[in-house]
Amino acid sequence: MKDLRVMARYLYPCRWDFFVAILLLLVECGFEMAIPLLMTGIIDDGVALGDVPRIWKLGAAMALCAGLALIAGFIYARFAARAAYRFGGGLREAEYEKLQSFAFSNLDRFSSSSLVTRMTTDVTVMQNAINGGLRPMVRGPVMLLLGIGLSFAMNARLALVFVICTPVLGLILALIVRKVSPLYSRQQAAMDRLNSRIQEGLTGIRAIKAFVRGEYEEERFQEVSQELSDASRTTFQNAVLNLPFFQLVMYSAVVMILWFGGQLILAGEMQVGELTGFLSYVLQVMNSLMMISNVFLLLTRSLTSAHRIGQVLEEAPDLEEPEDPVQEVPDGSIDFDCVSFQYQAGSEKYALRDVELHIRAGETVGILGGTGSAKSTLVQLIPRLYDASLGTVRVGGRDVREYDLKTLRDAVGIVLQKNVLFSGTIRDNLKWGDPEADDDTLWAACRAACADEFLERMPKGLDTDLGQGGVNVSGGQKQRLCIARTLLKRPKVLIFDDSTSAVDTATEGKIRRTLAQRRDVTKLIIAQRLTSVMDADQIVILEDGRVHAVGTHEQLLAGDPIYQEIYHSQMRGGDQDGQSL
Amino acid sequence: MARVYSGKRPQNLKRTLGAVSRYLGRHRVLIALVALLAALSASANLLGTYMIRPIVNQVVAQGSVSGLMAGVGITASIYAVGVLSTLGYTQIMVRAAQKILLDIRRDLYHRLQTLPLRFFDQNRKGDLMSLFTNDVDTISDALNNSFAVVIQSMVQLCCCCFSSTGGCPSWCWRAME
Repeated sequence: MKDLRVMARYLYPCRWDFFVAILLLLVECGFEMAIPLLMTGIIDDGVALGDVPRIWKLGAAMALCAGLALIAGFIYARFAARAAYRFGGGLREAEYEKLQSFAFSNLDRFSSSSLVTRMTTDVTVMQNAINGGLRPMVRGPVMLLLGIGLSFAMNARLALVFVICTPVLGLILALIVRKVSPLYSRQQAAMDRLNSRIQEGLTGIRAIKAFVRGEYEEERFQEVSQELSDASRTTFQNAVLNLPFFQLVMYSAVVMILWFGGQLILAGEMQVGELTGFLSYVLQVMNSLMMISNVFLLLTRSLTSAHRIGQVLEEAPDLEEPEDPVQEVPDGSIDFDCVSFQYQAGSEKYALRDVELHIRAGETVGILGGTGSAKSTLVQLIPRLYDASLGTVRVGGRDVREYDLKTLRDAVGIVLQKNVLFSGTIRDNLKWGDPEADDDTLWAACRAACADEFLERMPKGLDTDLGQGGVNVSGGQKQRLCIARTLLKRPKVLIFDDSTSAVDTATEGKIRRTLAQRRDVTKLIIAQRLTSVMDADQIVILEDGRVHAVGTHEQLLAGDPIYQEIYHSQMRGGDQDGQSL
Repeated sequence: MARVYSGKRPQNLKRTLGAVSRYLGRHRVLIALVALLAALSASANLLGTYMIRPIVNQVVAQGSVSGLMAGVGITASIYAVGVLSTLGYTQIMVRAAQKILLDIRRDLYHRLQTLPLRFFDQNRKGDLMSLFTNDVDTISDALNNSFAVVIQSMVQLCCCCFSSTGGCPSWCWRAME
């Protein structure tokens, strides 16, 4: 029910289309109701009495009613479609907006393919519910009530058949709905998994082709496709049971009415015309019940989808902003006070344990460690991509949680391991760092990131179009563009999460030297290569989520076994400066 | 650049219809069975409703309970055939539709694997994913809902045209909704 209230909020903007549609439906119903009445008039008054002009008049009236009903139906379709699609569009926009406010931990809770399904298939189900469901939902009850009312008026005793049939139908419907509801959830979950598999296949198509794993991927896909097929089959097999069962009850009612009605005629208590008229109302009642039953299944399916969409819309972002946020970050000093972090609250393992770090503004800090030693996790706590589970992270002397999120993230620039560029021109992408930047500023940032050398070679320069995900540039070029983008933010803290891995060592050295000149920016460099961090003011070695050692290159080389090991394995045979500079 | 929905007619209609009928043809026994049972169900519906008139006339003319019983018995058996064929075609249609969709999804994914990388550079991931979700969903709806309804409506149309000379009572028209 909570989900329906959430949905109703998005139905509100298109309420006028909705009401007009319902009004037109009632008009259409009205005209259609008039037709059998006119028909009775033709038979009883016209044909029986041989009054031909009357037949013509009533016939013309019937045609007029039919025509008006048709027109009303057409116009209704337009308004219903408008209401339905505006509703759907509103839902999708709201979900996308909600997504933008999600923290990484919120996104971890929903897989990305599930989010895609919730914004596409589930919204389509809701749209179809309005577009296809409104008509039966209005016509059904109206015709049902009219039909029952008129049949009771005609012959109360026969109409008692309805009193028996309707509860039976209601029971059947309730049983089917109860069986089918959880099955719809299962089906949507299977669809999530299918989408996930397809997404993976599309993202990794290059790897699949390079390793000639096409057949294996197809097998894996077929597994998930079969799962969805089975889930859908079970769901629909149960859902379509409503049709034969309803027909059974419907036909039984007609047979019973024929039997009892026939006996009444034999007993002389009923006229033939009465019985046929009664039967026409019976069939009408039955058909309207059929209409309502179909709609109920549609509504059940849309309840499942409404719940899934509601889960996204009602999800509280894990990052809370303070009541009175601080709007400015004074400087780039960073402090970790006894910080621990775990991805899942309540799990036994901590990704980071008791991290204690103090970095002065303007310092260059290198972070080393083996794979999985939580280097990325450490730096992601600084711009509050995740919040620390225990302890405090401070930037500029204040707890990061006290800052306005936008201010904090503008002041802390992070170049992530996965370099993501968006479709559009290079200029558009660079302007993500600074929307107001002019061309000179853009070129300056590209020079600092050593991206100018390939940009100058491109015919369109900054206006070069990048495909989806930046496929038209190499990995190293993408990394340099991402660095330039972050530099444009003019942040107080710059974090490089292994972001020069695809760049050759000469270029990397150039970038480092350019950045070293900027003493107003604190630089954190996560790297695998010792040469990247050898000149840092401090080097932090992480091991298994804990800080193993902190010091300068000379201090660590003298006293730390892990650093010595890395040094010797990377620098074997070369002198301290190596040949990489 | 965002792609604007063009709203053009589906292209290559003949080729597409050919492809659709090939997929239906792989399970033609099931599809034929569905068509048969759907037609039977619609005929039983109309016939049973039509029987009301002769029964009532006979009751008025003969005035015997046994005649009424016979007439009601015939109507009940016609309706029973109708219900069973409805059960039959709905269940078979669900199975057939899912089999066809499985085939389509499998062939689609297989085809994707054979395409060159240039195709993936030029086409957006979302567009390709939408093929599997939205477009296959639409086919699913068409198979599950529309196919049987089309058959039944054709039967009703034929029946109506055929018996319109004999006079189709108003509730016959009602029953066709």
